[in-house]
Formats: sequence, C-alpha cells, structure tokens
Amino acid sequence: MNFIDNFLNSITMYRLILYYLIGLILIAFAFSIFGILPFNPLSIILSTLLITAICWITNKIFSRIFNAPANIESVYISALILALIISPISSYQNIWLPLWAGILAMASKYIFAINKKHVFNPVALAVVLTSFGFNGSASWWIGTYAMMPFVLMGGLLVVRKIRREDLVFSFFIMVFVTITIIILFSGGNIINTIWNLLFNSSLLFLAFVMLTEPLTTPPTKNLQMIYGVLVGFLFIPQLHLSGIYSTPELALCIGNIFSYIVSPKYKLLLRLKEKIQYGSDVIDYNFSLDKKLAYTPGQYMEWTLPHHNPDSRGNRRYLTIASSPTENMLHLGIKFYPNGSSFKKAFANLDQNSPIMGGQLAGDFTLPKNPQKKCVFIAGGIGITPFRSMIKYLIDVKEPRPIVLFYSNKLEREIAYSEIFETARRNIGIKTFYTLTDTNTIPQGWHGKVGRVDAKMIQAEVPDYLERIYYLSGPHSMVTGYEKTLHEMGIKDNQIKKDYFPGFV
Amino acid sequence: MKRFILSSIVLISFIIFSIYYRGRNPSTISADQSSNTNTEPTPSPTDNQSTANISNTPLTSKNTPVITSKSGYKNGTFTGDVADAFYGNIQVQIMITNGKISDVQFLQYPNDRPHSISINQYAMPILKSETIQAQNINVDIVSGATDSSQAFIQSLQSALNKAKI
Repeated sequence: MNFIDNFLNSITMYRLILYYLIGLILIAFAFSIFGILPFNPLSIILSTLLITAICWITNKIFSRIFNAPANIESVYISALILALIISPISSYQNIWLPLWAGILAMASKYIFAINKKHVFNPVALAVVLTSFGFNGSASWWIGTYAMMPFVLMGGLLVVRKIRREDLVFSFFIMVFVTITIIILFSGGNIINTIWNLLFNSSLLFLAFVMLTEPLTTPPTKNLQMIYGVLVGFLFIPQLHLSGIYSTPELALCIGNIFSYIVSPKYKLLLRLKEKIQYGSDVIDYNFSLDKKLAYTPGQYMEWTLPHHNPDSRGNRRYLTIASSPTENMLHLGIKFYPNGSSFKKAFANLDQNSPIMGGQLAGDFTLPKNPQKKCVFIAGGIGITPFRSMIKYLIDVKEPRPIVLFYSNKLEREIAYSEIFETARRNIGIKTFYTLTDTNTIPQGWHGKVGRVDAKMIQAEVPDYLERIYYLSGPHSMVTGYEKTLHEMGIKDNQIKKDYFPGFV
Repeated sequence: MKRFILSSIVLISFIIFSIYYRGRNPSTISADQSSNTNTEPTPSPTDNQSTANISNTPLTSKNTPVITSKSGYKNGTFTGDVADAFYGNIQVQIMITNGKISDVQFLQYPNDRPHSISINQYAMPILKSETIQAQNINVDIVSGATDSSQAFIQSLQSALNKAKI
C-alpha cells in the first residue's frame, strides 16, 4: 500500500486520470485488433483524435474570447472520456455525435458557468444535450467485461488519490440497494443483475471518472455522500419521468445542480502582494483580496498557475489556505525542494504581474464544532498551514480552546509562522511545542524538543491525551507514521483527522 | 458582447442542426425498425415491472410450421420467448427456409432510451448475421451489448426449440 501511495504522491490527480484514460484507449485498441472488442481498431484511434482535435479547437476559441486561462489537461481528459463513452465512428454518418459532443463539452465550461465556475460535468452535459437534441446518445461502450478489470484498477487509484472513497461508496450502496428493492418487487435474478451492473455497465466508469470530478463535487464529506446517494438513486435504469428515462449522464447532471447549490461559488483571480521567506526553502505568499472570503479555517482550494511547458505534474495543485477568514490577505505557504516541479518553479518566479487562479474551496480538516473539545495538532514541515489558519482565526475572534500544537521540522530555520503561535500562547493559551528532527544540526541554546513527535513526547506534554482529538498534517508518510503511533497509544480511529495533502514536489 | 455572440452561435447552430437532423431522421427507433420487415406491433417495455410480468411468456400462437426438412428444423416462422435484457425485453422471430435459418427478426428490443437504442442498433445486425452464419445459438456475445446478446440467445433458443422436428 505504501508503494501505491508513494506513486500516487508523485503524480497530480489530473495527470493520473489522463494516463488512466490514455491507457484505456490503448487497451481498447489492442483488444479490437484481437477481436475481443467489436470495433475496428483504427476507428477507435480516429474517433479519439477527432474528438481531441474538436475539443482542443473549441476550447482554444472559447478561452480566448472569454479571456480565461485554459487548463489543457482538462481538455484532453474531457476528450478522452467522450472517446470512451461514444461508440467509435463506424462511418461518416456517425460523425455528428462526437463532433457536437466535443463542441458542447468545451463550450459548456464557459456558457453554463456561473461566476466562472462551471455547473455541470462538461462531458455529461454534452451527451445529455446531444441525446435530447438529435437522439445522439453515448453508448458507454467502455462498460464491458473485457475492459472492466482495467477500469476498476485505474479507477481505484484515482479514488484513492483524490480521497473520494466515501462519495463513491455511497453511490454504489444506493445503486445496489435500490436495484435490489426493485428486483425484489418486480422479480428477477438479483445476483445476475448486480453482476451485470458491476462488470458490464457504465457504473464503474461513471463512479470513478465522472462522479469524482472535483469541480462538480460538493466541498465536504457529508455533502459528498449525499451527492453520491442522489446520483446513485437517479442512476437506476428503471427510473423515468414520463418518456424521459434516466441515463448515467442525466443522473450526473441533476446531481451537479445539487452540488452547485451546496458548494461555495468562489473562483478567485489573485495577484501577489508580498512574499515572506522562512529559512531557505519555505515562502509565505500573501495575496490581496478585494473583500474578505467566507471559508472555514483549515480548508483548501485548487490553484491553477498557468506557465510554459508544465511538467508531468501539470499546472494545478491543492493548497491549504494558511490565512484566517478574518484576515484581509490570503496566505499560501509553499515549501520548495531541489529539482522541484515546473509548478513550483513558476510559483518561485511569481510576481505582481502573473495572476493565480483559485477555485473549488473544500475540506473537512477544520476545528471541531464544540469549542470545549480538546485537540492535539501535529504538523510536519509546511503541513503547518491549516493550523496557522485555525489558530490565527481563534486569536482574531478571541476564542481560547484546549489545543496543544506539536510542530516538527528538520531544521530550526524551517519553522514558519512562529510569531502567530507566540501570540496564540499569550492571548488564548494555545501551547506550541517545536521539535527538530535533524539531531546533527540542533542549534546551541535550542529550547524546543528534539526528534520526531512520538508517544513519549505526547504523553509527557498532554496528560489527558486519551480524551483528545488528533489533527495530523504533513507529508503522507509522516501522517501515516503518526497515525500508527497514535493507534499504539490507544487512540481510536474516530479521534484522528488527517489533512488532504497529496504530495509536495 | 463577444462572449454572448460566440455562445449564441454555438447554441443556435446546435438547435438548428438538431431540428434538421430530427426532420431527416424522424426517430432513430423508426429508422431502425424500417430495416426490419417485421410488422408485428412492438410492445414498448416501460420498466422492469412490466418486464417481469411479460417475460418468459411464449407467444406460440404465431408459430406457423409448414414443411419439414432433413436439417432438423421445420420450415416456417417461429417466435421465441420474451427474454429480459435488463433495460427492456428482447424477442426474436426466426424464419426457417429449406430447414435453414434464413432470417431473424426482432419483435421486441429495448428501445425506450437512446442509450439502449444505440447499443441495439449496432448489436442487432451482428447477432442476426452471426445466427444465419452459425445456424444455431452459438453466436458470440457482442461486446458492449452483453445483456442484449444473452437475451437474444435465450429467445433464439426457445424459437429453435419450437422449430425442431
């Protein structure tokens, strides 16, 4: 599992999905050569190229006219999804469906967007429109026995990468429960039906690739589960309203409306105000805000930084907002590594003239609702950002809470935001324990702790440690390490919260 | 303004195309049916409830055996049972000429949603030609139309059973 997580941490979500979809196209191509799939292998390639070209051109035109920075990966992803759900072109007469689906998918991102945030999954909306418009319907040909092992394997990686297990699980449960009830009442073979649904229908591809699209999913786990249940119910093939029958794409589009209603509508275009350097490789970026943003301290956003020749990790990242909603500036804490990604390099060169785009505010890594709840925050390196946000908020609203912070860094100079934590200690009684893990470089006169945060350190400083909620934020390997330590100390799973932190580079 | 014009061009073109396309092809269902010589009324299954009620109901009254031959099949037209294809029913009618399967007609197929129509549009001709070639139920499952293929085989089997001497 560690090997898988390490791999997932080294790649962005968009790149993972892109490679997954390209892999599926290539496998379908190979299967068609050997007659396992009933298509002409060339028509799979031709369809894919045609749809990609249409999407690319349409997006180019719209992004220019709408003056919006385009994310080229998402164009390719939409095109490949279309190629996998619309049957490959068998003659020139079948060209209209891929043609219009490609145009509408790209155009919908701009036309059906409110405040620069698109409402519907572009691919789903495109095939709903072609279906209502001229009966041009997606066949979801990817949903066959032959392709299913590959859809499943890649899909599980995607779901793990973007931590949408709850959403996908609630969707599956709803589909299976509703189908079972319908079959029980109407008669039929339940096992056969569920088997077919799992391995021979659009179910898995829809769930793994389209349902999980971050831009159209609600921001918190609970809302995501409701979204999953809603789409799961609407997915049922037996469902219909008069002559309009439920299709996977229609179910998703209706779910998207719910998602839009319950999601924050921000799409920010921010310009840099100032940078504050901590040590040699940590920089706190401060951006001006026109007006204060409403969000919960500890939440994250997806940030797009357009730059030339993005590497395999692309031009988007999820970054926790380090500032509190009470501040007039938005802070992002970034750690730079030697030989970092093109995104990080572009960030390093960020100036007042290059805007950065933020969207998809989300996250459950927030303070407990009950202010009496005792907490322990454990941060590793730049994983401190959500705690900076929460603690600054508590300082500004003058709300003392029973919180203890352990802040681990390799070197002293890497410690960021210490002035905030000092204010918190003085004003609202939140204690911070700093620890340095590189025992060879401990500076003279260091008053903090030495070594990684372990059971002994926690037990020594937090006598009531068994009653507390633990918040862990940092690199994946560190978070899983601390989780193990906490379990060994007798801390239960429901007392541990982990930040969404999909890698650093 | 430019944005509005571009959006309008795309949407209006799409609407005009859809109206034109629908005008030329009144509906994919009828276009598909026009390739069949079948004149039987095609009950349109609405949901699994109705599927369950009518499934496995042999419509033997339509069988019209005429002459027998050496192949093991009676000449004539034989209607298979209704088989459940998950999104609707499939029922086939076969024609035996000189003891051989000479034609396969679809009396029913899932046609209440575009998804099913598009699947069956490409699956039905394949199943039909495979049956005429194989002269038995050993036809390959059509990828992407497994439910339809399995239901087809089930209905075909019952039709051939009736055609057996």
